[in-house]
Amino acid sequence: MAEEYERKFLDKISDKLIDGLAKIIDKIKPGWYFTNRSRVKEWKLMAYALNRSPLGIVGLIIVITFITLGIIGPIIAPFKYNFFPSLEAPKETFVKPPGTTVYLKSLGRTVTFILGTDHYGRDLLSLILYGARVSLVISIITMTLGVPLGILLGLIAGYYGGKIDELIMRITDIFLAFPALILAIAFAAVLPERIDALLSNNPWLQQIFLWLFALDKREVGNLGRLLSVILALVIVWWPMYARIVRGSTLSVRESLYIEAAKALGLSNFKIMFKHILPNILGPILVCITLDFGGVILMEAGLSFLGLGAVPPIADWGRIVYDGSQFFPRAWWLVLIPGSIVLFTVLGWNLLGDALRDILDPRTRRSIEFKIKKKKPVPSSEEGGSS
Amino acid sequence: MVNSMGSMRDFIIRRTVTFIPTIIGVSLIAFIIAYVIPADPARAWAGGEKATQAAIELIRKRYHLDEPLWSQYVFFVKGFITNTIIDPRTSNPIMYDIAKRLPVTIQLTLFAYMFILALGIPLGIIAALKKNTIIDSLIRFLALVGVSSPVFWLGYLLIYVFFVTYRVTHLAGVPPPPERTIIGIPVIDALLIGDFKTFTQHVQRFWLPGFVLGFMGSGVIARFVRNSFLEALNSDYIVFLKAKGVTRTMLWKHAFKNALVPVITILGLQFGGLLSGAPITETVFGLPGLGRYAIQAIIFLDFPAIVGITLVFALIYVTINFIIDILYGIIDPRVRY
Repeated sequence: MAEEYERKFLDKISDKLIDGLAKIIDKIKPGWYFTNRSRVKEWKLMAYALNRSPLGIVGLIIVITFITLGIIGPIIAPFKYNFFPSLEAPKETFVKPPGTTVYLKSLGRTVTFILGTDHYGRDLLSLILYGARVSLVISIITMTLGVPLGILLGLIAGYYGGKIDELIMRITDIFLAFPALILAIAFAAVLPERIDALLSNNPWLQQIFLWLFALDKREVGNLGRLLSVILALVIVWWPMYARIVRGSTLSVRESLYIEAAKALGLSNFKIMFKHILPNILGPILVCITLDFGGVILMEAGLSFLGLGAVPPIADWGRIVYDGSQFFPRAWWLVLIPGSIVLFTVLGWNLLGDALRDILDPRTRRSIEFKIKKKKPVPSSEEGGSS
Repeated sequence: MVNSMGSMRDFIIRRTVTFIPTIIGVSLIAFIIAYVIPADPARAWAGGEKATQAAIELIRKRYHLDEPLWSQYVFFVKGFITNTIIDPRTSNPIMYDIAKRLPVTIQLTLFAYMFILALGIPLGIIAALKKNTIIDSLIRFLALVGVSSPVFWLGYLLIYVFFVTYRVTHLAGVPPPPERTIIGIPVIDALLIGDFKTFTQHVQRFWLPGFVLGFMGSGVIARFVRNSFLEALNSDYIVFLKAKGVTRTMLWKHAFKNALVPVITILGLQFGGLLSGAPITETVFGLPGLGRYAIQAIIFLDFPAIVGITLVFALIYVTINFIIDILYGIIDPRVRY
């Protein structure tokens, strides 16, 4: 492709990535690239916009780090989350500051606890790495359950209107009438029993969740509490999406292209998901990004209050809760996991903030205008020659 | 004038009509939490696994748990309205336990609101006036940090700074309320009857938790005020005033007044955030408020209390938003239609 724009180093990388993606899609669906050239160009401009927002880049880096650590954290952790050095060296490992070095007989070598230890003598770094997995899995499951539910109900309410709309929105209002964390606390407190019953009837579900959370078989009994937090978060989260999607659907519903789709005799289902949804996806995407941070924050808050994860399961909020008994002496148990939560949530928020600008077509046009290569202005002497 | 008063009345009626089903729905959800989700509510209420059969049977009888669901619901709603549901753990009527702890939480939210207003509005205005400068980005970044910081992290960090290092705040207990109660919130009562010693004691105890709780909200308000103020500055009437040659401070005054109107709604919504943050803040700072009580109730599986607290939190939140909607309707006539 001819050089239209003055590209920076990052732009070249993002171009390569997007071209690669386009090629892959083209392989799966032959002819896709040809019909979607302008879309690919828009994607590239979006990437340029991101490249020009330093805070957005920082957010993206944090988010990618979080996801990577969430996936490989339990693998690269120096110790297992349920390895208790306190069993063999209780005094030497009980709530020790960062950098403590101890000789452990069972391992036959001296080990250094880079971020210190908790009251079981466990390595804080390993706990945080395992906690990243728990946090990642919880936020992903919450969003994949809550967002589609909200979108579906919002679309139905906005598209059909009338009594259905009234009913759905009244229910939404009721859920929004509770302060979010309070409702989540109440549900997380009462749900475990039911979930445990469900899990013990479906051992394959247990296996899946143990694998997802990177937990030992022994923690089967505590899965119910973890899952109850997820369900509580879903219950708190869907109403917001229902409301946002309904609002956007209402504004799109009367447009000409929807009328055209109706005139063509398309089914309501097709109109909702193929014609309305793609056109309101921008604001939803921003919300999803911001809410990943929100879910992580609320999950940490719930486990800080003693709901959800129980020791020895490593969970950021729970580490702080257990460590707070030794505060201020053991500041590392409180401030380090807390800061990790802060950074992760900040990362999602920065990314979401940048995304809001990027998805705004006006931003893209102004970027395009700014970085377009100026056509060489023919000077007066050689004016006639070219 | 007559017409406008009529429309105001219609607005209030319309808003009240949506208020009632919400309250009923809220009570239904609270009912589901306590009566429907637990597999055996009587056992759960009696304390779960370790409960004796006799205790379970007693609770089943006393709270009508052996009757059909609808009659349980009626008993539950009636019990809350007449305050006859007895907490199995404390043997007090639930509302009595809640009323004892409510003032602490209200006082905490009050302090948080003060910080939200005192930080959020000036920061928002500065950001708007210094649009697209370093200061603006800094405030924007700070607001994002505020939204992202876990309440417990900020709480412990500030305890480390202000209590462990400098000792400028108290952390133990709650100072006694002033001799006379007027509206029930100690710090305001102390101010009203002129008891300055009690007043300063309360301020010393509550300013830090209030700040921690309000920090998140102040960021949200700052961003909102900034955008709202900028929008007002770009509106037609300001352009007109500019053309008229009005001074800059005068311009800002006009824009400011109109920019603050939508902020009221956000302040109402913020209340939900403050109530949500209350359990964590109270846990960190050891305040015996309603949020802390909720957590204790969960630890002891005290279901009637959990439901009562959830219900009270929701009622406060719904009522505040109801009042704010009405206020908004009074201030901004466009909303009424």
